[in-house]
Amino acid sequence: MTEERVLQLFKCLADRSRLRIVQSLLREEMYVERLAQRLGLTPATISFHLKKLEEAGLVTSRPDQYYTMYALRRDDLTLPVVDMIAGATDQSSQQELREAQYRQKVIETFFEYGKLKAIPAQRKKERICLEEIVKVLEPGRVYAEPELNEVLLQFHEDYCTLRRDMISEGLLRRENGRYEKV
Amino acid sequence: METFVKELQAIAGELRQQAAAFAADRRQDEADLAKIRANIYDICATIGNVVCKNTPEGEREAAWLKKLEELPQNWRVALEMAQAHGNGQRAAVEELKLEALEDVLARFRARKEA
Repeated sequence: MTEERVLQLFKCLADRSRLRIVQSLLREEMYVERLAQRLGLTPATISFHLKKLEEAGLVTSRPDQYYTMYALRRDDLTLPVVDMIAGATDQSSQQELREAQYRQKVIETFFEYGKLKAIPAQRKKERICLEEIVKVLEPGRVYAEPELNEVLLQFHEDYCTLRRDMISEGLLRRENGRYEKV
Repeated sequence: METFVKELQAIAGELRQQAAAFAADRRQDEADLAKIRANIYDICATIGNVVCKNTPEGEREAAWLKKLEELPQNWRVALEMAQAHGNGQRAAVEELKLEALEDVLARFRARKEA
């Protein structure tokens, strides 16, 4: 188990309501309304917590007649905590990890549902966003300008700035009005 | 109108107390959700205050309702986007905001009818 996974698991469980949901699901699988009744919380609150538990891989769901039944995934929970901590592997150096986290944070800040909310003013942040966008271009393929513009327009209306900055950042090469990913 | 604004501020205050209690009980997500609800009551109260200051008395309620109609437009768009992209947590937050606003309007209507 990776260090990140261990942290995700503990963070998810460090909430009294979620812990109680897990306790209930340890006994039997259950649907939202039943859990809400049992724990004295609203169905909306229960759904919110179940979503988090599902994302952390602690809970699974399946349709059952009119309901969605939730069950506990016991794989990670049956591991002794001491083994989990001792076995947590540091996948990359701390520097690489910090860099990846920074990158992820920039992407989450500036992108929403695959679109660039704004072109970052800071060069480092803009470079990260441009690198993310350039991923959609096929390596080795030569794009005509209108074709490239269409691709960039999917991310931001100011495709001219994106195109120009991709060239100056060395992510894109222009030759006779045709473009290729570097 | 002023009394109703005070009522909304009181609800926001209660929700903030609830949020503090949730946080103390290690229920941080529920604390955050309570704070989000409190913000909606606060926003509606603030709009009410502004309307009271800048609008003639007979037109205040209509002006306030008009502002409140415009308020959730972005939330609805955000909700649709979140649902379309399977972002359950964001969708839950947007739904909560819309529910809180609906509660404000229901309280207002009930007050008028009483």
